[in-house]
Amino acid sequence: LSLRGAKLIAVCVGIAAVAVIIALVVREPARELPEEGVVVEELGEGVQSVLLTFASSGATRTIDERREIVVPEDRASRARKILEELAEGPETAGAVRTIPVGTKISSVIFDDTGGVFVDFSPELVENHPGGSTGELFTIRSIVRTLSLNFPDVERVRVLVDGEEIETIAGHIDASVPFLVENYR
Amino acid sequence: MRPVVSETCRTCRVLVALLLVLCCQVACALSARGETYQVQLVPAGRRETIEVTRIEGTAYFLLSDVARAAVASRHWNPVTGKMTLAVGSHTLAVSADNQFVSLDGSVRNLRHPVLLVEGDLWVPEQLLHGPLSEALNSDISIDHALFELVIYKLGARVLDMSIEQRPEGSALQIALNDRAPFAVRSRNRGRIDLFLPAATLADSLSAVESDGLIHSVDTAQSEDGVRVTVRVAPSATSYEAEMRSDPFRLEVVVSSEREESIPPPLLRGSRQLVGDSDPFGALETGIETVMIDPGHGGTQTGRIGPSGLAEKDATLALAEMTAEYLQREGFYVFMTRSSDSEVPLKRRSEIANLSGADIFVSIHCGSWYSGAAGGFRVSYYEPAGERRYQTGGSESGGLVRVSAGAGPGPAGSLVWGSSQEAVLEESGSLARAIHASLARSVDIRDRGVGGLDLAVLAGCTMPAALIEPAYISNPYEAAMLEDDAFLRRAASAIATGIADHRKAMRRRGN
Repeated sequence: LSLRGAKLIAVCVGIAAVAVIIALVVREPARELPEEGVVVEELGEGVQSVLLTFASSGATRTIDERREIVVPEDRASRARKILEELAEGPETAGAVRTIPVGTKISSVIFDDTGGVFVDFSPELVENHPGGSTGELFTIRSIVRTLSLNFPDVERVRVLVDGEEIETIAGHIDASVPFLVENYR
Repeated sequence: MRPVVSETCRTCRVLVALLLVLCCQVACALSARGETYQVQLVPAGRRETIEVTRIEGTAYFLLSDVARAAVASRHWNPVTGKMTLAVGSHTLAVSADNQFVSLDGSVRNLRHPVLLVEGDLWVPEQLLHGPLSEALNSDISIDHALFELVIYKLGARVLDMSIEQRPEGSALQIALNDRAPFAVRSRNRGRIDLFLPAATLADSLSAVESDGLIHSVDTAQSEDGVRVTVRVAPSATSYEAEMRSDPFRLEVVVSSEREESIPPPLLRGSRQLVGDSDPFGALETGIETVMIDPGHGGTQTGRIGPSGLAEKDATLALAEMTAEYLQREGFYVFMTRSSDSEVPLKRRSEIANLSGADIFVSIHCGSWYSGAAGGFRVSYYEPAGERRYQTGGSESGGLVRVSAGAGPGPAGSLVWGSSQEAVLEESGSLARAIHASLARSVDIRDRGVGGLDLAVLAGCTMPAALIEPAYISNPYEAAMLEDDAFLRRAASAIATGIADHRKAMRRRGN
């Protein structure tokens, strides 16, 4: 008698398990960054000539600067290293920085369709001088630097602390990926 | 022993049944997600999508989408499990698994409960037709075959008008059934024009007799709202218009005392009647109202200049002066903020769309890392990021859901984030007209006019431009932004530019 009760309880538990499985299968997968390109430890070292895009001191044009740096072999680590150089500011006379002081690059992730995600520290937004031109040059320098060093890049998505942002300083829409063809 | 067995069995059967129902509900709720309806707001012409699901035969709407469509702010209390929506001047409170909702404290009963699914609140269709429609003072119609939800915004109703004599002057009282946005303009002495967007006149409205400084009051109902023309005595020199409550009324006090300066023409406040030789007639073109958007505000200070001037204060000061000059040009002027308050970017275009403004102008300052950069610039919207459609719900209804900030929708409908794309050409001429006018009167570096992917303009349904009159990071120009003479010159130039654009549109026959 109590055995029959136990059986029924077992059936209930079984159905509950099925329900949980259905729920898990049916639910849309959480949106995550692509895993390909997770930052790998430096695999090797080599000096490479890279191009970094800064702005002229009067904010009228971009200035490309060539720099010889030691870069990791891995694509994502190399991109991160190049952006770290960009965030350091220019060595060329007459050129000025385009990435706010104190900004760190948390990670760079390439997807396999020409898109790249760059995750910055909050200083990108907090220390930004503002103005639509200030914002435009920040975006152009990031996008152009990536496209000059990685010609297959078509889109650049800027994140802050891993989160999507509406704008960097209140003007230009950063909630969508920047198209290289428009910001080069 | 036997009764014990059957009791266990019954308990088990009940449990099994409950679990099955739960399974079905979860599966149903999850599989139905992604179906969307297009929301239209009439007459403001806003388009949005709203997520809909069917639970046990009843249409349920995603509350966050409903709130966005109703332009309601939400407040969630995790302790009581209650979501409060501020809809206009009304408060609508709902809580999960509850068939009772409260509108301004009074309880309304629903046939189906509010549901909490995966952390989202879903409300039954009845809530939209009943309490929400009441709070919005609108008719809401839902067409399940067309996947369309239309909110017919009725706006406020003008109930009555009367004139009262007071020590300070003659007061016109316009009685309303609800708080309403309004704009005032006066281009020549002797006449004050009032505009109440989306408002309607009550049928029983009686004529107002001439009294004191007010000679006549005429009302006119049009598709976009109510216009009131007040003719005043030649001795009248100033007026003050203000929305008051208990009961709701718009009060216009006309007095004959001269004021020292012309106060800013905002949604409320006093200003002086401006003497003008121009004949003041109805404008031939549709361009009549301008929404000015002073950039930043509240904790969003914008750039702090070398002298400590905050961008949010500079933009507000220039916006107020621009409003004053625009009024003299015969425009009705609204502002997205008239104090140091925080307004989210998308809310700004939403305010413009809801008010039915003909032109949107956002005022900002240029800014750079060093003091070296300077000059003025005018920008219009030009999308530069990647926008693509996200498909979903095609199986359930064939309607394609478009992500925020996407391009024109599949059925030619425009989505909120990209309304501006329909008027790019006119925005370009507006920006060029303002730029040309600024270039004539401002003697700092000309940084030109051009397109940018500006988030604040993306959602505007009307021609729009963003103006940066000077660089706040440049010590010389920051000082100019604090100088009244420069601000007046810039404000006057912006107003002239907008008036030039109106003239050009009129010539083109638009």
